[in-house]
Amino acid sequence: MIFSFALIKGLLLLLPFNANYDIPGTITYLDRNGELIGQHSYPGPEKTFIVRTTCSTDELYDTASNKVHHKMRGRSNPITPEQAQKTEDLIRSKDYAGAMKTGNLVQLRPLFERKKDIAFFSQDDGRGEDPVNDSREYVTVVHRNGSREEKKGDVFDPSKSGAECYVPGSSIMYSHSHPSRIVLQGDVEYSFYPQAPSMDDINTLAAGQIRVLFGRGTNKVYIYNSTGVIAVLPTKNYSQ
Amino acid sequence: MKITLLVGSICIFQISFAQTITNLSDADKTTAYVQAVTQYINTYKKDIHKTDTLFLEENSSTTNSLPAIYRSTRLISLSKEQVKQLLNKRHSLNLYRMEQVKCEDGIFSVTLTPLGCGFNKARNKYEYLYGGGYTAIFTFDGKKLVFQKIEEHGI
Repeated sequence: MIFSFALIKGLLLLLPFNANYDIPGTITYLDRNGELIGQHSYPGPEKTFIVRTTCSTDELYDTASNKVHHKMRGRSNPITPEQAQKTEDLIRSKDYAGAMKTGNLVQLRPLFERKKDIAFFSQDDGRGEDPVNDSREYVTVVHRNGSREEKKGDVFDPSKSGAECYVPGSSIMYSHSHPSRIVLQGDVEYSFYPQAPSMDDINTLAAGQIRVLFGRGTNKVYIYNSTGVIAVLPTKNYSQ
Repeated sequence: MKITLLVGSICIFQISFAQTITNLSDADKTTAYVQAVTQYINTYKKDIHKTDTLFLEENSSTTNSLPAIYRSTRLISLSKEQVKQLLNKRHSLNLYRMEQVKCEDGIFSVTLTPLGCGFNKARNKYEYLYGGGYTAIFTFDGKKLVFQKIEEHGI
């Protein structure tokens, strides 16, 4: 009996999803731009929190040239710079409980999932030149039974149409990407818009659901819920 | 025997022709383009008293037959040069591209794709942003096209 219990526990420790659960973990805190500002040990699985974004809808959805009034223009749900600063100051002074009470922290997905997502979504390298890999959406799905699925959407040309990827209804969590492809025809550049979550992305969520979007053209990761974008960070900082 | 086979072949040909139409007359195509735009306006432009303009990318096979105005929305077809001239005067505009009518399994469709257009001074390039569109779906009742619905799609 004891042997069996030890064996089962040993086997569980070998599973990647449980690898961190029985050893002291850390809680990591990122500022509103995704930079590391605090970390402490913690007797449980790894957790990472980011301070909510202060970026307005215009800052996330206008392009360099374009005050875009497009049907897919989404929305931001930012906090004020003062609120963000107060939360970041609390973290820097190691008042983690105080920072948590502000309600301005967003928890990221587990680190092993974030690393897998980055590896998969980076097939679109963000340069917009590859007519295949940079011209499709990618989706990772976590099903109700805990299994993970990686899907590639069809290839589309932004000067024509397309770029959608079906997400199964049985999923409890999914992340997806917006393609970086740019097609130049004379002096006209065609590209996919928006790189941040589209209005469809936001409107399909129920209250309380949080999703992750990789804007491969902006090289940023956007965390959003049914109210809009709540956190933004550079892709390289997402695996901290 | 040969006559029986011939009559039978003609009957089968006529039945199959009546059941599935894969091509439309020019008049029906015009109807599809006009209805795609007017049904889009009916569906998405709720405030019919507000004067509005819908810019369409010029395409002789799809946009020539459109009315100049529908309800309170002006329909203006723009060439590429006209788009560029307009972007010298205004910061951005939505330009609707209308694709040619498609047929699949007896269902006809026309897709309207709004492109967010602007001029990037730093790069000296015009930006056309694609984020999805609208597809008007039709069936053919044997005599005429019948509008069914508009489907939205986007990234």
